[in-house]
Amino acid sequence: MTEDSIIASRLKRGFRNSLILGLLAVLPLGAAWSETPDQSQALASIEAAEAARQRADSVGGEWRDTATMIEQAKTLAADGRYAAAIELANDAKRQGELGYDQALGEQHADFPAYVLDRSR
Amino acid sequence: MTTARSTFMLAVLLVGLMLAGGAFAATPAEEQAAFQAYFKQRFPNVPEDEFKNGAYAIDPVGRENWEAIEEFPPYETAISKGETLWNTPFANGRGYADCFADGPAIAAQYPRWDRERGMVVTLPLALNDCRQANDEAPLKYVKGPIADLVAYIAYESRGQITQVEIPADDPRALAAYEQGKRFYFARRGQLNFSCAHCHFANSGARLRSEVLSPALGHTTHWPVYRSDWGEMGTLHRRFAGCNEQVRAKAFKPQSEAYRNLEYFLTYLNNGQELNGPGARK
Repeated sequence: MTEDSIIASRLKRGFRNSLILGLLAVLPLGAAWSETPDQSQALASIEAAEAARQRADSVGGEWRDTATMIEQAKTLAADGRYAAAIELANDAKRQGELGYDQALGEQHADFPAYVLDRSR
Repeated sequence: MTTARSTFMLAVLLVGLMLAGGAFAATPAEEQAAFQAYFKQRFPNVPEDEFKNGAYAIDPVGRENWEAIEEFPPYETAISKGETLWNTPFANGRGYADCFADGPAIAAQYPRWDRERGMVVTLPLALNDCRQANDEAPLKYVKGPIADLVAYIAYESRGQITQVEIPADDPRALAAYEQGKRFYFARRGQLNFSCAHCHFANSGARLRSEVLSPALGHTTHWPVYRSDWGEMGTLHRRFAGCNEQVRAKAFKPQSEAYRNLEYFLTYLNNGQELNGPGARK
């Protein structure tokens, strides 16, 4: 093998490796591109948030801003800002879940022990 | 021998159950006594008949401002309007006096347990019941004419003593009291606060520039002209405002939740003198 052919071979291998590395670098971008949320995903998130809000409300545990957040998420979705709508709807859903758990956990709320110690 | 041992064991068990029951249960009267004793102990220098003045019983600077405001009370217009409303006949020629024979000084009769309806009836609710019985549209519950009417009634009732009753022969009344109690002590909202978190152990502490008022005295002075509102408002308006301050969704005024809450809180304040309407920051 001549020196020229060795250099050509190395260049070829380097080009191939660069191509592979380049493809590997671009692949995640492609995956992210394919995961860009669409309208149906945004509407599903909003629907889930509304269900969580109603569940919290059914036990008197709804928080002040949850309904407003859901309305804002609907506005964002209507404007085509699906990622932002989903993020807000997910926050609202979490509020609904926490409000529901909070209300159930406080069902037996009572005088604090420093006022009325029921253990004595 | 076996029978004697069994009888002894049964007796021990019964005594144990009685002791346990006595230790964990408390009647509303015992809860009221513990509640009032707590605040009298917490504020030993506040005379008992001063708690009706809320934060102004414990905050000398706030009291000075309040006394200056009381020289020209911002609720006077509401009292005048309320008196006019009270004396203006309905379209059918009847009036509030036909519904409330003891009126207008009837504030101490509310909230009360209505045995027939099986629910707590508050003064604003009773006023609207009267209107509807006379084919008049009900008034909205948070401000405006209802606050004016209640202001006039409260003014005429000044000096009366809070005396809410929980009839012992109607367990539904006790259930309403218990529901009000649970509401009062339940953490709620994004801030995870109960009413008690501000108005029990933190009463007297500052929340920014405000002094948190003690729960003893909370039901004596309604409706109130709040500088923050710039107008009169009812007790349930304040309940809703407090709920929203801890980032919970407020309940509707005169909802069962708020009526029971009022029943519970007013019962705890039995013995306190009524001095409404009031002025607050």
